[in-house]
Amino acid sequence: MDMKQKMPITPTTPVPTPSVAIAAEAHARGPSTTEPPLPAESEAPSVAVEVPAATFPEGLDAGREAKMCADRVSVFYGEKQALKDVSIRIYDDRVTAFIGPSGCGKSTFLRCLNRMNDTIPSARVEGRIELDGEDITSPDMDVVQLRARVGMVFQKPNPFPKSIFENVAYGPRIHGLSSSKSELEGIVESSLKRAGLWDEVKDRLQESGTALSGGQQQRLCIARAIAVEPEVILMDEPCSALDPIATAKIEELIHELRGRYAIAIVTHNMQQAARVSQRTAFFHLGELVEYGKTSEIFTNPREQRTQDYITGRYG
Amino acid sequence: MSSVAPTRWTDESMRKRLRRRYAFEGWFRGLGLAAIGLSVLFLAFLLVTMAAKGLGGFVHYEARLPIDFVKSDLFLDPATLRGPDATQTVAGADLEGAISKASVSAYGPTAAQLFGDAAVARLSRAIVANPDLLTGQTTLWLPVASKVDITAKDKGDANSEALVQELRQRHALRRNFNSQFLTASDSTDPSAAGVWGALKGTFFTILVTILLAFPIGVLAAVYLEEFAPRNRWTDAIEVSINNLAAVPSIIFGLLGLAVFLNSMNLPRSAPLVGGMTLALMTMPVIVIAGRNAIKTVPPSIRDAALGIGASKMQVTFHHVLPLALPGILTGTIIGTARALGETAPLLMIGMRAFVAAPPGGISDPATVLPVQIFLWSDEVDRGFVEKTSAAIIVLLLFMLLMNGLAIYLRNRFERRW
Amino acid sequence: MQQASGHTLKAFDEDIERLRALISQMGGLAEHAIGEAMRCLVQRDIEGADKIVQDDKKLDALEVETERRAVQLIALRAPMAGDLRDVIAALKISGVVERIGDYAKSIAKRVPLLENVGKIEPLSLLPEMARIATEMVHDVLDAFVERDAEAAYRVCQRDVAVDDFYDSIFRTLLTHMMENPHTIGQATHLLFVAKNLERVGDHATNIAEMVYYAATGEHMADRPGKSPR
Repeated sequence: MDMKQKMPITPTTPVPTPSVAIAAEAHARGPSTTEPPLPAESEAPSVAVEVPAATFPEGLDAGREAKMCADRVSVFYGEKQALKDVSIRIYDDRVTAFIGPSGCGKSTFLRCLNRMNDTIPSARVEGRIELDGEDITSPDMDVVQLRARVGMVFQKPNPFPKSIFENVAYGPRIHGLSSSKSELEGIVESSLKRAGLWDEVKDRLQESGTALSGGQQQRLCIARAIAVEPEVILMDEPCSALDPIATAKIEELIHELRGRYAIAIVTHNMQQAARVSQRTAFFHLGELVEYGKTSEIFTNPREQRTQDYITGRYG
Repeated sequence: MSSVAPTRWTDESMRKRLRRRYAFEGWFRGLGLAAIGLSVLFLAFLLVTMAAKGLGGFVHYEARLPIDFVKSDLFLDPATLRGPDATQTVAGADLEGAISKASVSAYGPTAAQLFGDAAVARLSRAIVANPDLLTGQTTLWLPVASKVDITAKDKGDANSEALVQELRQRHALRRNFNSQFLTASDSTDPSAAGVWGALKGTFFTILVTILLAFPIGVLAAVYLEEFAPRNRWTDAIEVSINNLAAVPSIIFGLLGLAVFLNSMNLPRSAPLVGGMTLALMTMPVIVIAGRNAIKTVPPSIRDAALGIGASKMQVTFHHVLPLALPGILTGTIIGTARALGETAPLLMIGMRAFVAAPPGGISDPATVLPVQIFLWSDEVDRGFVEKTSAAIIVLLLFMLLMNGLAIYLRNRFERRW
Repeated sequence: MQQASGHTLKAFDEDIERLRALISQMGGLAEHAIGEAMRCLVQRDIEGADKIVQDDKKLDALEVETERRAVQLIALRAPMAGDLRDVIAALKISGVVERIGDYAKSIAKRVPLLENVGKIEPLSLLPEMARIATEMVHDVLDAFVERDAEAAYRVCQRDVAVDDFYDSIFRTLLTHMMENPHTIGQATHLLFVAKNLERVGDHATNIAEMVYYAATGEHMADRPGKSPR
């Protein structure tokens, strides 16, 4: 995990000398540089390779408050360690993509952010995760409230087997977010609008949520997550079960949602990560290998492992 | 790429193998059909036998009886029969004697035993309904006694045969639907015996059973499946419950006897105790069915609910239970149907007594239909044979009804996820 | 960054290799063209020069082919990071090499017009200038094949020499023209030839920058020895 050295390019061959006459000319003109200057050391590193324990690079996203902050997070399933010392920040107004081969721990990490790993009896989470500065792993944190603030959309669309209206209204209802029926209807309508589904379902809100197509179901799940006014939305491979058109619609939706929520998305599809995110984190064998601007990760990554993975030389 | 020769599908050896495969499958299918056929035969045999024996119980013969109330020695005043105690008053009178006298005068001395308790009951009801009958004479169709009934349906001793012959000749005998069978309770006289008391008793017992077993069973299943930690204790509980479901029912009867009757001194032979005993028996079945039904709810639904901040309780009661309900209902109905047909445990807690009046509530002495059948099958009187089979038919119909209800409920609650 | 192992999809490797082979082929042709053009100039080989002009068509065709291959590769393989830089670099380099070939053609075209040029002194300098320029092209294409950023940087340094040559020839020819006005026509042609060779040197530097970027993902910070003209 060394930072790749930016080697100063020093010239090792002398400048070839022209014939005597030219040399005389050149001399008459003045000393020409026989040693060209070193190329300036590369610009201020805009990305750190790997974020070391509890320190973060100044260059990238400097001065911004992180929405969620993970510090040295490790996850164990029984004896097996699935995540090793992952430290990362998720920002408002940014989509952060987690990429990496199967089994590298990206989904596990995502599930740490809203403590869904609690439902797995053998899972043990170490390290500190903060949401707006509060430690979410402490026993004082109300998990139910956390999961309302940090919503999740899953890989396979899983609407409740209830009506479309009920699907979206369930969350606000159990959290007591609305005080009257009309208010609840308003919340449902605005959530469905924000999820880009309103026009397609406004006439059939009482139909079962499972009667929709795959892409619509996933948008319904997104609307359901939005309805409780989260601050962060986690998406675990949301488009892997969808066709390209549905995928494109969801990606456009992510783009629209970006301003309102901090979004973290796990994806197997590198092109999708490239299209949708502004920050990308590459996981490998449970470690965070590289994190940086998406545009740079995909044009000039710093780590050899990252390069190998995104160019298809992995495995 | 590969050095393996492609499969030759048209080879003779391949064809032979294919033929053998198809032959085997044909054989297998034939065996399956044969098994189904045998089962259907058994079922048909049962139903046909029952029907043949029992349908007779639903009809009985009635004979015409002209009665002159003025001439009979009934000391009844129509005026006293207009109050609420009419039935009591009538019961005090010697209706049996009056009927006997009237039938003898109509059909001769052999007709002294022509009518039985059923006729008495019918006459009593007629008088209470219309006290003015007592002022004159009238002709009534009354159900004949059991012996005559059987003679008319099948055959009997010489005297009865002659009587029946005579009645037939005078067109004084007719066949009619035996509504008594369904509205009367148990009686020593077969002609007056009915299943109503047993039906009511069954109803109360099952009510108690369901009210006790269903909530406890479902909640236990929910707890064991959703909330309980997985350790040795819960494993032991699971094994115990599975075994309980297989325990012979008479042991539950013993338990009921020892605990409910002897220790807790609850009323003997009451649907309350019967229901509690059967509830003990049904609960494991519901727990097992409930657990299986809850297991089949996909984890994605739970994840989805957890993901938007539902607590464990909300996940379980808003999402998991409704989806598991069809399975739970099926299990409940299976358990209840089994409980319906149980005789042994109820015999142990004393529901073997002869109960002439239908129970008014869950703490009145009662009997249930299977026990009634058992008791009647023990009777010597030939008249009870067809009653037993008829009661079995009633029981079967009752079970069909319950199963139909179960299927209806299950379909209604079935949800696709 | 090393392109250590091959792609999981072997066909991807083959596609990239074919593209790079095309560039090497073009480079070889361009190098040869310049060398030949200078030889014909010195030896007044008019037929030779004519052949060079005809052969330039091959170079043009190869450039079209390279462009086609590169576009296809981008569409079908969605190359990322180092692979993407490689492909873009190949695309740009093919254009530059094609222009180098055009310069060679331009030099060859002047051969028939230079009848009595033997007496002009600067003519003796041109072959040396051409040699350096050709060497630059050769070396930079080697650097491309090896993905060697260091070698590419070194090529840039040699452009100084070519520029110095050009300055010297320019002054000499100017002086010659002023002293021998009847040779203005011929001398002007020679001036153009020198200019072409200087441009070849510049183009080799351009290629070097592209090679550097493809190999490292960074832009060469300062072009060595670049002084404003």
